[in-house]
Amino acid sequence: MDASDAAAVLARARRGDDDAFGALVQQHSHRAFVLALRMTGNEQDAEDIVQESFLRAYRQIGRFEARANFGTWLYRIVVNCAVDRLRTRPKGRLTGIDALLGETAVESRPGPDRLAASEEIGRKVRDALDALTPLERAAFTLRHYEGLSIAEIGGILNLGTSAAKHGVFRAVRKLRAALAPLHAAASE
Amino acid sequence: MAHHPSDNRLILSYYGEGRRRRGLERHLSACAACRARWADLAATLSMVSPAAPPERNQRYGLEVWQRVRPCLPDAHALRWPWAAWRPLIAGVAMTALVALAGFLAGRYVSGPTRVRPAARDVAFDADARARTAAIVEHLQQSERVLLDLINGSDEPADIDRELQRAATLIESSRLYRDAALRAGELGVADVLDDLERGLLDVVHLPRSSTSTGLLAFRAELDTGALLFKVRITIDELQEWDSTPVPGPGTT
Repeated sequence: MDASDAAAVLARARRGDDDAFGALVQQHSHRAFVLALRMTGNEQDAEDIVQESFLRAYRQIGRFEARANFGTWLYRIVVNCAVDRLRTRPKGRLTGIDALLGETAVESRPGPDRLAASEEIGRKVRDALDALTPLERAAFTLRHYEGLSIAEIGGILNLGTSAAKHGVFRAVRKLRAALAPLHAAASE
Repeated sequence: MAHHPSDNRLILSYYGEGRRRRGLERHLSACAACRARWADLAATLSMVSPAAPPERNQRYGLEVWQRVRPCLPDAHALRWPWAAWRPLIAGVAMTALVALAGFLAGRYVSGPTRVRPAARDVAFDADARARTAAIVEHLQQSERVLLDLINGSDEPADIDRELQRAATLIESSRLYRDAALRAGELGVADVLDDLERGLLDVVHLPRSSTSTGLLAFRAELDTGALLFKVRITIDELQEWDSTPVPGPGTT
């Protein structure tokens, strides 16, 4: 779909053409899913978020400014849905940084073999990510995984540049605190 | 470079952002301690490496659309939300028409009607929409201030700008609350009242507040219902504002 086709499809969708909206859904679904999955770390949650995001987009498409980028606008909706989901999600057994560090401290220091197991590292990383606040996780995901600039993150999260930047800083600081024992052990 | 770069500057640089990156690179090549800090940061963040996106087949977009489509609200109802009330509206309109016809029959001989009801309704609607747009803008500005405060620097000295922005919003919050009260929009007035109190709390946050104090205050704001209420009110007002004005021919 070239730019003029995309603009025409978007215009039709804004006028209430369901088939045109369907074309937008098909075009943007995969990217929305990947973002939702990175935000939540859970495939079922991500699928629900994708569906909810498109429903919200459908309801609000009349307010979408034609000059703006539909993908960016949809991103904002996906992030907001994911933040809402994270806010209401019950915390698991090991969700706090303290709990994570506590467990690591109580355990005997993991040996290199165990550290080499990427599954273990993956679990720790997931736990550390789950311990971030929803907005920290959103800011970190958009910066680290999606490669968006701080200014773009501010735009999507409706934050000033400074707040977006500090969201990333806090997320990285917490991740470093949580993952430092793994890193230290691995480098020994 | 005389000073060692802060952790935050290293993080920005890791992501290819921040100013004076050349200077930082020169410093890192000369300072073993900072080079070690940099390596430590990079090693930690590489653990959180972007995983390969999960596989989804070519038909994934179509599958999503097939799931979404049956859940779509009726587009006609969305754009013409009073459509479901059409029979009732038609009945009321007919009654009003009969009453109006009777009224005009009695009055016509004494000259044209001074106030045209339709024109007055349109003016009333325009007032309501202008007030709603102004309140939405005010709520959005306030939401942004609160979000910036929650997500900003952990150092109280760095939030002066947010405090100043909050102070400028207090008076307008009060005015909009009074306007909402006069218009009988009690729910909106309640939210504006809560917002005014929240903004006052922000402004009266002691400048000498410690980082811990700021964090506690921030947690209270974040977990409190204020932001949620503000967001919901914005959504509701925008929803109302996006409904088209019924034209003269609409029943």
